[in-house]
Amino acid sequence: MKADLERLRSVFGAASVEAWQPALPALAGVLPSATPVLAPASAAEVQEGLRFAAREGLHVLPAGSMEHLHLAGSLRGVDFVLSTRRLDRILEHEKVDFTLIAEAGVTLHTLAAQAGEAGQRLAPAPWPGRAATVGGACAANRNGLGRLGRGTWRDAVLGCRVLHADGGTTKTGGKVVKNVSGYDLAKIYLGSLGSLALLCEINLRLVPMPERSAVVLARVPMERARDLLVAAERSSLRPQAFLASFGIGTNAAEDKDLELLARFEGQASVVEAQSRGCAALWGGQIAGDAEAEARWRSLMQFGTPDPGQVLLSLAGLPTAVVPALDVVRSCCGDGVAALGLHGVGTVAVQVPVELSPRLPELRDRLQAAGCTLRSFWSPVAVGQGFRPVPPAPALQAGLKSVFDPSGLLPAPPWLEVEAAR
Amino acid sequence: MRRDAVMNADTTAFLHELHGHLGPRLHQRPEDLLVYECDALTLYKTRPLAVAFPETTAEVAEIVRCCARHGVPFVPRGAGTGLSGGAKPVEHCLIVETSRMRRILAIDVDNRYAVVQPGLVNLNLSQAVASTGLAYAPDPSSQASCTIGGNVAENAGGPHCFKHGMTTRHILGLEVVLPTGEVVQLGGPEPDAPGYDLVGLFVGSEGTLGIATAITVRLVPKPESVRTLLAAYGRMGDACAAVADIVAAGVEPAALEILDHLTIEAVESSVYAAGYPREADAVLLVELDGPALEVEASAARVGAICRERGALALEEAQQESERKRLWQGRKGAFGAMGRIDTDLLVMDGVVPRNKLQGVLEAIYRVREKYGITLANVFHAGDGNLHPNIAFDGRDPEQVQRVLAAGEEILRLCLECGGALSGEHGIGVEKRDLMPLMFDAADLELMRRVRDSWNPRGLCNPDKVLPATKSCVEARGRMLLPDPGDAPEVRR
Repeated sequence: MKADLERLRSVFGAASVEAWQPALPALAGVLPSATPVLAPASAAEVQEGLRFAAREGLHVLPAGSMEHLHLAGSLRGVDFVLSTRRLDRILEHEKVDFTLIAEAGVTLHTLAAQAGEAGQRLAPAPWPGRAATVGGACAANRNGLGRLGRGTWRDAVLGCRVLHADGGTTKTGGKVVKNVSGYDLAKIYLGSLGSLALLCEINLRLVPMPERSAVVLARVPMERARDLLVAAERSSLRPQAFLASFGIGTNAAEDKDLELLARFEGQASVVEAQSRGCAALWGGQIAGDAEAEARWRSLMQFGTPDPGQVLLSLAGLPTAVVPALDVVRSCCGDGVAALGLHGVGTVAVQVPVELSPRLPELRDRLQAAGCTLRSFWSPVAVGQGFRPVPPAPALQAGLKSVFDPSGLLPAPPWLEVEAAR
Repeated sequence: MRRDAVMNADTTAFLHELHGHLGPRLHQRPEDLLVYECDALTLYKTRPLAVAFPETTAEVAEIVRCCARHGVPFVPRGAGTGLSGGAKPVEHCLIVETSRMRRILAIDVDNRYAVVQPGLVNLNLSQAVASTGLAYAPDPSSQASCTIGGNVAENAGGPHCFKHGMTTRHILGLEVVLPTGEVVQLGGPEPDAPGYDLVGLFVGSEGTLGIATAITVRLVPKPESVRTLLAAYGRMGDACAAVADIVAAGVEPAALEILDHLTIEAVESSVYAAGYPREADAVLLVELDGPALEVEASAARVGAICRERGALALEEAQQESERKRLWQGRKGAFGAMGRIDTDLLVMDGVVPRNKLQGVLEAIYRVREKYGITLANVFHAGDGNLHPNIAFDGRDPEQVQRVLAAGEEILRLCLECGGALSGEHGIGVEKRDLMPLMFDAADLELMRRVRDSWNPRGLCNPDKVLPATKSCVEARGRMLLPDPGDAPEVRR
């Protein structure tokens, strides 16, 4: 039987069920507008929602604030969304141990505030959006721009409790900062986009809040950018991020230079010395606090779905970023924007839909430059060949079968049979 | 776990076929097999059928396919330095020893990674890249002999993983021979490989999901500055309090290590003597690394905290030779403890950092209760305890007391929210204690994940997960000499 709004309301109560609304205008077509969203107030009720779906053979989409739905595979066939946004309690914060246990629906804003009161913070820092949740950020493996120095969710998640498609629950890992007891299943939940299980509680490692941060900005010709970044990396500079970008915000599209940005965090004297050294090396300047904050926020938001833009996320070797940006600019010209994390190797590209006919060539030239697709989203059909290809597909499919034998949770894009996207 | 009936395997045909591939690199003589009866957990021993010494991925794949054809279980092994029995043989198994696969296949300085074979010794990697200004961060105490492949299997740690992270943080990609003999490439130097994080799942799987035959590791820049301090305390509690204060102050040391009085005595009476004050109840070793300015400021802060917490003496290494000396005692602590009796059980448990002092006091009460020789040396920053119990393994009654004390200590760790293992792995040592930390559904899920890679159960059987019996039955076996199903070979 179909899971329409009325039926779900009759089973779970009107207060827990609503009609889906896109979190962002660009996501309007991702799900039918009539898709019900069940947002229970407790983990036990989420379990009930999963058991209900299992009994009825309904397809469930686990979600948090639903700001990352563009990363999911095809959502055709989803009967209802099961949102954890009301699982919003911080269950434990051991300040002395720098550990915290949060329910999946705790927002990144709330987490930052809680940790900040103790002079602590989360290491990964993705764009917190309007109400992005920790569960959603982990499921989508959104790590933010500072991952070169601060690390990723992979380093910060100590363990978790998940709810399975049949309503059962298991845990993995623990709450101590060092633990090799049993298989580390948290690793495969991160980035699984809800395809294996629904993240319910997440045990996190926190780090000290830095005393000071500073941003160095420089505009340099594309042909000099890689050498400058490599020189900085080989020096004694230890930044949180080395970014290279063009076409983003104040970074005017007609400007043919790249913008380099380095962010330093830590003890005040060290940050000052390192930022001075970087500015001298690059011929750049140390941004004022307001400018630094504005620029950082602008770059953090880059890649947010937009109805007029195709989004590509790619990865290559840590030093392949500038060559990849060069390919993007030479292939697509003005109007395109790109941001790369030097030293990490990730590149995000935003291509206006009117340039979408150039995407196959862009993809192929980037691949020739050593960068391959990690995720792809387009508001218009662009043909085939834009599905990320995973290693060991049989093992990937095998894991999906272990966790979700009935296929009630969404298939991740890397396990989908490709259709035009 | 379902395991094909090894007793039905045509052993002669299996060995003949394998010999055809490996020639003299297949060891079968009983005297050659003695050393492979156990790893560094010497409590449990089983003689393998043979030991294979492959040199290439293709040979590993052929060996594994041969095992699969004949239904012979196989156990991957690096240097055999594991402390939880992860490389302990089962009856009629083949040991696949990777010591002849020790080449560095590639070093990319700009992109900060290297590709190595699994048998490469941990320390040799850092030495090989030292001239480039890079290093391999994970540094288990056995780093002069343990292999990168073994480190991957166990997700090894070490003193410096407090700041730099465990092995899993430093493994970027793996070439793996699956239990079917198929070779797959997982991850690589490029980040965020599409799909589930199979590298993350494999690291720490204790050789039960396959054999890593090429490993892409992250290299990190050597720090601009390193400073090492040693603070001696009259009371263990003060050393623990200093650790808590250092962490709370927002200082991020590379390492925070504590040695207790008995360990200090053992070290100072051994070739590892480091000049630790013998009268101290505990010494705290702190290492700071990073940009020189940062390290200088942090060292001043750490020194002040150590003094505020009542340090009897505070020493800072002024040159590299002094730094090495201070570390010599810590790195040699397990070896020094080996002088006390014929056998040493190096335990491994984790507690929340704020519970360190209370758990240590409880551990010393366990020592008194069982009348055992127990010393503590531990990664204080991580709450990772290493109670070391010296005993005479020839005395069955002593062995029983040691095992009972060990179990009680691990229960203490779990009762305060800790973990069974911080870096040694579960292996056979703690396999039957897993139900204390995980419930039946947790363990069943892990079992199904393992079986999806290793459906016939031939790859490193009987490790990590208890047999699929009730927890009560599993617990009942805990105090038997060998938790596996194979007959034991004891001295």
